[in-house]
Amino acid sequence: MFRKISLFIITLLLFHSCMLKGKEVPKDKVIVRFWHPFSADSSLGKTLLGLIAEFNKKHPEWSIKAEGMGSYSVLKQKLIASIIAGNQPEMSLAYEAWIAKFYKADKLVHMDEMFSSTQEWEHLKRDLFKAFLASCMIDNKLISMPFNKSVPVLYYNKNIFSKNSIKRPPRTWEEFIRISKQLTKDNNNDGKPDFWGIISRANLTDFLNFLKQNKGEILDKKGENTLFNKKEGVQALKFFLSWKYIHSIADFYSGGNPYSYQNDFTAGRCAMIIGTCVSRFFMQKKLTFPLGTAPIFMHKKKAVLVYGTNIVLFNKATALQRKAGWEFIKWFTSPEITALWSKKTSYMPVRKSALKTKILQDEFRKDPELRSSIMQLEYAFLEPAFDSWAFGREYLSEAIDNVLIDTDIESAYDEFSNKKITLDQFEKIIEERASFHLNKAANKMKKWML
Amino acid sequence: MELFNVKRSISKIITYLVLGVGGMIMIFPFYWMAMSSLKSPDEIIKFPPTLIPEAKYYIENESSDEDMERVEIIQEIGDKVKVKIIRGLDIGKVITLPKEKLIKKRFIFENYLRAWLAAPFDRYFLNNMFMASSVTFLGIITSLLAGFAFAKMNFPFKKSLFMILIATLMIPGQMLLIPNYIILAKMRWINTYYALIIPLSVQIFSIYFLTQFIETLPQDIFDAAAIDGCTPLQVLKEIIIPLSRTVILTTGLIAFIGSWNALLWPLIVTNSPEMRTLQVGLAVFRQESGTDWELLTAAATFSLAPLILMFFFVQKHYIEGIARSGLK
Repeated sequence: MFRKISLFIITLLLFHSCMLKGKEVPKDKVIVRFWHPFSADSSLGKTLLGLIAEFNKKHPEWSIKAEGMGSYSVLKQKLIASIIAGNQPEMSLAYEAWIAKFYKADKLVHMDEMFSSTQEWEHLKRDLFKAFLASCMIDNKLISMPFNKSVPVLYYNKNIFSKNSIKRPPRTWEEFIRISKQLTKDNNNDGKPDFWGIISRANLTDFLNFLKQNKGEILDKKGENTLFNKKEGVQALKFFLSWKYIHSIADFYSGGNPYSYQNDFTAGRCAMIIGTCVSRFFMQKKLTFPLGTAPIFMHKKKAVLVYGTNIVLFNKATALQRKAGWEFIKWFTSPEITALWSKKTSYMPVRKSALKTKILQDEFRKDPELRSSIMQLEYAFLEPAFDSWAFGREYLSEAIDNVLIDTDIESAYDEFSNKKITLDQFEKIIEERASFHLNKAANKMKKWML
Repeated sequence: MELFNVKRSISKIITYLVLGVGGMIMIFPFYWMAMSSLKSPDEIIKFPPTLIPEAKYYIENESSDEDMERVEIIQEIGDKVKVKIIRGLDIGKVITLPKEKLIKKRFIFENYLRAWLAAPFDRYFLNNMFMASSVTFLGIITSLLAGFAFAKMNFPFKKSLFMILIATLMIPGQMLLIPNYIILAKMRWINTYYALIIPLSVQIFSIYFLTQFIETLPQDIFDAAAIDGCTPLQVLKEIIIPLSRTVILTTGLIAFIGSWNALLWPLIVTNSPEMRTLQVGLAVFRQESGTDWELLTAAATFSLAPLILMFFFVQKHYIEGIARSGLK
């Protein structure tokens, strides 16, 4: 009898404790749930929570409740599921392609309607970096605001550069090849390099950078046709492949941990890598050499891809929640706070006026190279915001992966190394295979364009 | 006779050698994880990798959050030493300091402390333990009831229902994430222990496992129990449970390990840090542009410790359960 009663009480307690939820916020506050992709306990997450706590302290009538999803893919899945279920948060971070979908489904607040005056909106338009402003606009309406934006930068080992009497990092494709050749070494004389000019991963974003720098385009203006598989795209992919197959200055990763190449750099296996500006934040404590930062090398046209998400307000929010959310967004993107966010995380400041704040001026004095990385924003571009791209980009990413393990190129490389074919013949094979893979991706993407 | 003994000894040696090598191969990933958790951030990514952490010199860090800065000895000058800082914010700086301020370390046990403090792992452990225990307890109950029904009771469409149940094993879990999330959202269970426990409490594999085992029990026992006037619940309690102890332990262990290691489901159905579980906590160390490998391996090691301890206690029953379930 006693055992039965005990079992019953334990079962009751079990179900009662199931009712337990997370910490509750007092009922008189206006609560705005804000979803983001960072883990709450990660360094980036803690920095964000610290800033949110500062805002909440200044505005006791509101409470911005940040909920970290741990990754962008989980954030995307949860946002879609929550919108279908009708319990989406009031505010969230999102990529431009997702924002385009939410806008089409009429789920978003038009932020240009939240300004108290036209002058305020005009001032913001002038102060935001052009690429960031473009990323926030759909149909001439302000649908989002830039939040955690980053650009690619070239990281280099200052010790290696100085030992090889190289005064500055490469600024053009040609300089990059020349410097990398100088830095690539076969220290143990086994015929294979053991120190590389650069280590890279099979990387869609690098390809897009090279495509644009080669005056190519990703899609046409309506998003109905692919352009990355044209001549400019083939040449861009050929440039990427030439690092390994023609100039022997690079080692490549394909698949696996996306930051393995960063580990190789910090472990001293190469002189340079292309990474995001935020990578600096993670590499610092692993470095055993002084780190150099520079804009990435350019070609016919200056272009760098902007990564990162914007912040949106969902129109499910009440008027009070929208006001609280909007005030938070304005505060977070104000010059002082965006400068502080940039300093603490290495993300880009979203406003030009932030560059003049004491916070960033002090940072530039400590490391002048930081300014040149930020100035890449003047010629930054975005990925297309079409549905077709949101779903189809995976095919292009797959194509880049596949071209790096293409057996035809490997066989031709062996023949070229054994002098059975000439350089011209080898380059022709590389172009053909690059074209093949890009066209394959383009064909697969067609179904999303219908 | 002697030749036979020699052959037997050689055969034993070879068997133990093969098992030993196999065992070493199985243990190596755990060894690697434990050793990595004791390395410094630069040593963990070093190539070629080190099997045992190398002894290095450090000094106390006065200017940043990190505990220590790694240094290289340049010159010894009497009772002082000239060092160059080779990792940290002051990288490249050369300083002279008394020898006693130099710390030589091989194993960085501080990684465990830093990993523990990086996130509320005490709360995550509690959530994990509660979730795994509840899922196991409820899973055993539902599996026993369903297993008994499918094995020994007769009802319409029994076979078809069983096939449908088994067929659901072929559906990838990721496909069900969004539909399940929507159902839980409509029930207002998101960010509650209900969402963490109830959906995981029915384990099709455990139902199948127990069904197969109960089918092997002789029908005579059940006929005798029926003659004696036992109700189905009494049959379950007095006959099936005592005979199925090892199999129940096995299914319980599988359920416990599965729910202990669950990542995607808790990540999807919880929003606030107070509701998160251990595996979600480990994701702290895999960040947007890099991974803190030394902290991740330290956290993974202390996360695995309860599972390994538990397995040591129940392994005999687990192996017996696996072996028994196939016997007729």
